[in-house]
Amino acid sequence: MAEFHKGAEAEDPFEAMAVFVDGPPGYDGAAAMARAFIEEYAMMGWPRERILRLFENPRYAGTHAVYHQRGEAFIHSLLDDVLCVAPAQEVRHA
Amino acid sequence: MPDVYNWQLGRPMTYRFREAHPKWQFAAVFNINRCIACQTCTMACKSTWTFSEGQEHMWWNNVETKPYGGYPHHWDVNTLKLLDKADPGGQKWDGRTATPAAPYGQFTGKTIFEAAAALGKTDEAIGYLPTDDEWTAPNIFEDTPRNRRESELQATSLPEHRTWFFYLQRICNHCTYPACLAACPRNAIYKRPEDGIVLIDEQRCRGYRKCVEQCPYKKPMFRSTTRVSEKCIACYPRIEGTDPISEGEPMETRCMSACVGKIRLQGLIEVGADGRWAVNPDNPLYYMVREEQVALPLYPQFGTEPNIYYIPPRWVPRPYLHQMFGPGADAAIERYAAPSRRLQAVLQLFRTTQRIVHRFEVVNGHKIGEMNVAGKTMELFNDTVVGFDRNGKEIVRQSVMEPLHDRGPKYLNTI
Ligand code: SF4
Ligand code: SF4
Ligand code: SF4
Repeated sequence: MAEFHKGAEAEDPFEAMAVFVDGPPGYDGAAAMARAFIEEYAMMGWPRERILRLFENPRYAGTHAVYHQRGEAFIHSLLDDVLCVAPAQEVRHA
Repeated sequence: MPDVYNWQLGRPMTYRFREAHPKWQFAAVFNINRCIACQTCTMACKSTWTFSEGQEHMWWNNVETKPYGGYPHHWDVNTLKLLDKADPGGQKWDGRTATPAAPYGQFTGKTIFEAAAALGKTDEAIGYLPTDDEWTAPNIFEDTPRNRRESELQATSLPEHRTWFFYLQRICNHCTYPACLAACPRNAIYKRPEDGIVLIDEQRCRGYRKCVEQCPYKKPMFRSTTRVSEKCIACYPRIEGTDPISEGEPMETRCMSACVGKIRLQGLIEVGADGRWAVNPDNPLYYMVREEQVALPLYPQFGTEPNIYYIPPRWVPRPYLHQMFGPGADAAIERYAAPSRRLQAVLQLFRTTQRIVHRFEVVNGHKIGEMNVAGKTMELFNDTVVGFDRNGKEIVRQSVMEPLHDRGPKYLNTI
């Protein structure tokens, strides 16, 4: 990925576009964002299976990109870690 | 110039006019953690207020992808650069002085007003006029939708984003000390005593664009067809209850009530003659901003005391958040990530009614699960939040666990 690490240049009219903005050393942005998604839906009482589908379904490009990059086991480990006792929400089917 | 007290800075600051406060202040909380950048808010505003000739470039409400985007381009970076030039390396906070009245401590740097004085400028505040190019193409290259066929539906094969970003929702902040108002040589801008909404009197305005130049949030916009400036009007007929569908009761604005992600809650804060917020922990905005302190002002260091508050995105590197929301970001994230039962219930109030909720109550429900947040176990309860209007009438009732409806696989976008 090194070739993509081009820094911002103040004279470039789109100076911040297509530029990596790094976090602090060891920061894993994709994992942090994926975890935040899981926490948000868990807080609203979503069941585990339903949250997982947000990652599996390619139509949800952001969450699916993490699933694609890191694999299903990674998403399961995040779900395991966040959801100690997952809410068992009743889902009504259309 | 008189001194006015800015509670967000925890100190007095210089401002063109003496201190005066409205009875109520228009305010809102935006929960960045839940925004999906669908731009429904943007289109709700556009289709209501800025659909005419000469307003093509105007987006009184916009949602930009940070750290990449901005409307106009680089508005915040440009203003931060100007501040740094006036006070190199001096834009700092002293967190040791935090008190309930000054929850972020004291800002020891220079506001946009103080920076102008330090540079010997005759203008009220530092600022700049964005170029025409910078007003065009909001969101350019930020989130490019791709028109894909079903067979092409797979994760991107181009270099993937392995970085962080978040969506920032922006409207006029209806600031307590508006820079636009201070900047206007015609005194054509005023702040309404009844609700703190900041408006441009278009009869008086002669299009000098001093407001465009000096508002650090770049929310006044010049209209070439009428040669006057325009800005967000906080949908004031709705706030007044004079919009025909409001039936005489204060109602949330178009951009708030259209929010699909349920990230916006707007209302009115009662303000005392000294500018202090009347203590009211049962008001959802007061509760989130002053009690729980989960919602923070945007670039408080600019010094205008903005009245739109943001729950910061918890996955973003902290130095960036400290710059954007001040030193309160760490505590806000800690409290939001593992919310109290009361906060969890209040978060469910967002976008459940178009009426302004003046007071809320929480009715306890049963335990539904447990979450691990940063190594600590947090219990989840199916509590119910009840919202009341200014007359004490119940206008909404919502539990934490909302009914879920599965539309089945025949719908392509179903989950
Ligand atoms: S409507 Fe709500 S979720 Fe959609 S972009 Fe606007 S603030 Fe975000
Ligand atoms: S955000 Fe800008 S336009 Fe709005 S009140 Fe504040 S200074 Fe004025
Ligand atoms: S409050 Fe009304 S005028 Fe202001 S941005 Fe929202 S919809 Fe537009």
